[in-house]
Amino acid sequence: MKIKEYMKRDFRTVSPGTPMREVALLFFESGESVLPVTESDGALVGLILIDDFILIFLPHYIDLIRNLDFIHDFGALERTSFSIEEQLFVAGDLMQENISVLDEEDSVMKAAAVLHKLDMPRIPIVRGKKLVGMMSKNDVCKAIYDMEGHR
Amino acid sequence: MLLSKHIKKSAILMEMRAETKDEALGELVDLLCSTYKLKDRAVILDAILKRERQQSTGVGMGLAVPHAKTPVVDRLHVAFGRSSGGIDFDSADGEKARLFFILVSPRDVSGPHIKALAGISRLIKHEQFRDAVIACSDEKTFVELVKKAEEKYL
Repeated sequence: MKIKEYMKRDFRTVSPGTPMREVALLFFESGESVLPVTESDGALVGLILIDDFILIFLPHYIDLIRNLDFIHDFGALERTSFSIEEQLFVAGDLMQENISVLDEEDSVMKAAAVLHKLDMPRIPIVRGKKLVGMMSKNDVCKAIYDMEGHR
Repeated sequence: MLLSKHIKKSAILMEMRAETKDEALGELVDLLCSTYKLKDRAVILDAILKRERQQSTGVGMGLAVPHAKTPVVDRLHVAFGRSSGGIDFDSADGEKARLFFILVSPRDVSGPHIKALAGISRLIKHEQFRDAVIACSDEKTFVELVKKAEEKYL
């Protein structure tokens, strides 16, 4: 059971120069939490995780606070315009470049293991350097379910 | 990521000589390389120029934040320059840039780079901070201003 039989082939990508606003809109529209970044030839160059995107908006002291129960809001920060950030960031600034990928010929169980180990919701699938699909934990579950003969 | 903890006093240039965007980028990269003993000036400048071609980091309000990720550095480095005359930097609001933060980070981590950029943009939104930095007399005063602003706004 190979990844290429179950991976999603209709996925959205951004280029390294895509402005932050467009990246945000893609997150909202797709409902995904991981966006692949590709060059014009389809080569995968990185991934933007929504957790990194959210980092832009969080106060720096958040890492120092263990218990957030006593915080009800972040005061003036919640009413701040983010126009400067929108000018400052493009997709390439937000992406992680040191990423794990799988080959479309790899097995679905390998995808399951890697997704579990990395605690990632989905992972890029490549043919050579080219991004050809995305495989999510849901796709893995569907494949395992099929394998059990519940087609 | 607190800027005041990362920036060395020798990485602060209170009066830049540059008059054009290209000259400013060269001067800021020189400042970075000399302060932090970075050897690959050409690679760093190329990365900064490549990033500028994607979208100018002249974000308006008199601020520019040229930055890039490059494999030739092993941690985040930051420097600051000020131009009292201002430099045309293709800024979003068409105004000349007077305050410049330059950052370079390794390519294999994104978190510190994002936090540093977010921190700078959060400080510079405050007019009081911008005016104080434009008026400040020396490197020591600059660092004190940044520390106070970080306590207040970050």
